[in-house]
Amino acid sequence: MTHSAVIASLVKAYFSGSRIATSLGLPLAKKKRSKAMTFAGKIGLGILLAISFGYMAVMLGFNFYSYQVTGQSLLGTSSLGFFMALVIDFVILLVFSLFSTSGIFYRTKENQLLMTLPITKSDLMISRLIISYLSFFVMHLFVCLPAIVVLFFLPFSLSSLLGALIFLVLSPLVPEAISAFLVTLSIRIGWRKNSRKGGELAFSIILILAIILVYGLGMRMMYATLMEDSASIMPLIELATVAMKYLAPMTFLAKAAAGEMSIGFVWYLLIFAGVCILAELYIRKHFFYCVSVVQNGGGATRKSSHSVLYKAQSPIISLYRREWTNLLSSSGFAFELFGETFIPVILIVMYSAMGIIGQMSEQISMISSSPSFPAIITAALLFMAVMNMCSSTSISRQGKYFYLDRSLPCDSSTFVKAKLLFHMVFGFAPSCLYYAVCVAFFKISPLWLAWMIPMSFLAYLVSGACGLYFDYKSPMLDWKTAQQAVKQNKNGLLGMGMGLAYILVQGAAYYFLTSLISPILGIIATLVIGACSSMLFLDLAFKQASKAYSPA
Amino acid sequence: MIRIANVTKAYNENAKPAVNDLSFQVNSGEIFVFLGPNGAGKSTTIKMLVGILAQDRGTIEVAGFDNLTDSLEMKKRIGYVSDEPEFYEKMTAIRYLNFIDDLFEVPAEVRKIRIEKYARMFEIEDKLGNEISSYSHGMKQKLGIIAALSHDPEVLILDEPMVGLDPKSSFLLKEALRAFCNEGKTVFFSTHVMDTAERVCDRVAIINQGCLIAMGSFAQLKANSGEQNATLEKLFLELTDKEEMPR
Repeated sequence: MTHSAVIASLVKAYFSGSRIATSLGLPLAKKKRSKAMTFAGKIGLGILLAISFGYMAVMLGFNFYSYQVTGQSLLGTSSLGFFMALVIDFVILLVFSLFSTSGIFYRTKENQLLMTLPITKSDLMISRLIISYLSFFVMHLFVCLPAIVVLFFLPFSLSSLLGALIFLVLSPLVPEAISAFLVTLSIRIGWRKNSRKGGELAFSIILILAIILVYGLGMRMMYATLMEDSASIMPLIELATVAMKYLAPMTFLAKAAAGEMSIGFVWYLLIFAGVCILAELYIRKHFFYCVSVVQNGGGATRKSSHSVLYKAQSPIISLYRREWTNLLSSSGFAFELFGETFIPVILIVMYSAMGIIGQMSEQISMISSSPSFPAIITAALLFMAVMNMCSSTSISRQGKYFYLDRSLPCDSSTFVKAKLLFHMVFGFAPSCLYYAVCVAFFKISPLWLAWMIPMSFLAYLVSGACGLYFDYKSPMLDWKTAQQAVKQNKNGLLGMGMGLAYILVQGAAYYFLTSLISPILGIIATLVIGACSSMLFLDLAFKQASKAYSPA
Repeated sequence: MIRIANVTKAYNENAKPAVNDLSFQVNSGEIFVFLGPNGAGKSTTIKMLVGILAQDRGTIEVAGFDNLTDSLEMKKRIGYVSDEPEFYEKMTAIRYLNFIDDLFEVPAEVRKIRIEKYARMFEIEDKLGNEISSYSHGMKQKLGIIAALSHDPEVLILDEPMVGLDPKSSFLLKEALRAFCNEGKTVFFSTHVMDTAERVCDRVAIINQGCLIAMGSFAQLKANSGEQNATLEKLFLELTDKEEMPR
């Protein structure tokens, strides 16, 4: 076999191989769903996804166009929009691949087999790099395509075609090579030996900061453009000018794509090739060492750091604690779910950093005297309550271990209660703090808490029960990387969609009853809707769990 | 203690059954070994016994409880060691054992005595505070056995329990199984290790292509074959080969 054939086989094997649950031959339940229903469900989900991603792609395109136009008028270059796209794409790919690279390169179970086969280090390593490239290519397209579309607003030139093609095809290799280099380096210097969690935490923080940066850059420009706020635009342009100076290789590519080809483009190509070659040489040199270190559990036998305690707890508490263990077992799970729960804190940090918080407080002070203001705050926090995937991916996160639950001597309701308890502690408990902070910050009467807290409780209960219903109905158990169980899980979308519908129904009821009859009636109606919905979804979740825990 | 009657299980409607009209009974105080070549239906049978899979036809009773209608009561009486030691890798071993015993509602002082006894027996008492991810395959297997024994089940069901165990641990397990049965409890396990099966079992069942092809004590199997000096391995090979010949 030629090297390219070996590499192609390795890549194919990675994507089509080792499906854990199906290989165990353990069906979850005998599903009797008509093909028409399945097809309709897929079409519906496809449309929803297309709308969501289309909307976000348009937003990104609008941002890039804003940067492009602003750059033309203030800096005399058309390359600013494309430059921003390159930066955003680079940051996103670098950070997301930092999470997955060690899984794809070193921690994958198939390495145990591959290491024994007559495959060269180089072939194995290149196949991992291609897998990494393909894994994130869709994410790359999501940023890249709007930027390329924005280029159509500029006159066509050969250099813009070349720049767009390089961005489309080659540019993802740089962040992925750097990420593979960093992960290899961290294993090589022993960072991951005893402090893997520390490393993962560091990656999580970097990811949050990167998302804040990317989101902030995008939203700030859009806000400034929409508001025609030149005072806000200038600092951004200054920041962009500095970035273009220090991130020269990206600037050269962006200029080429914008039809401003210069000798710098050759520099870009040289730096691009240099980074990839150096990373490749370093990874190739240490590849087998790193695989063996990681496959041997980090290279060091962990010392007993926990005392041996014999403590009896109720089954619900024990299962609840297991939910925490499962959540913290992977940085992918932890990041997604902690990120969702602490969105309000992240937003406050982000808006403070962007200077929006000051403008917001001025505007808020104008409307805070409105009688509807507490309801607006409640609606905003309820929205955050239902926009989470804690329960809707709970069974999926268990993966292959879910089947073992069927052999445990617990009623299905015990499992559901434990999962709901986890959902409430994880989401509802911090939400009480957010409500208290909002009441204090916006100087709302504390009496409103008597309505806000039960509303939040009911929203979390509905969201939790509804999410469990969907995940028990069709859990995604055969994932290969932790992110798949959360990010690529349709149950998360279904749970959030249903939660959103719940908030809309409550909001509509509150609005009409308050404006037509009385605010008290609006408050009572929202609580009644919450109570009825929670009973309905709890019933559905318990019934679905009973089916899922029955032998199949 | 275990009663399987006319059990059939197929994974797909049109597929050949993994287990086909299987019937046998295991008595209290008995070590019952389930033998069969790969893909014979051993693990499928065991997964039905412990409540992971449901049969398409027939009935299964363990400790007097039906596996479909009284599954919770049945599971409370079973200790199960799966064919692959699958654990929550981020838990420490002691937390995992506490977790299992919590679900079986074993009081703290009782579990302490049992866990210490079995952990000492399998020589992992000083590693109970370690994360399971640091355990070797054999240590995980020992942990699974301790977890199954720590809640003092009436029936112990083990799927390939000897895999990964060192000779000493394997010997100790056999001793533990015998002691367990001497208390009037039942052990049902599958294995490929004929030597172990021959020396430990009271009765053996041989399954091939989902069907029971022989059952009885080792002495009975030898008598039926007419070869008094035959080993279990020889009998097994003869029986399974004979079954496969006409197909």
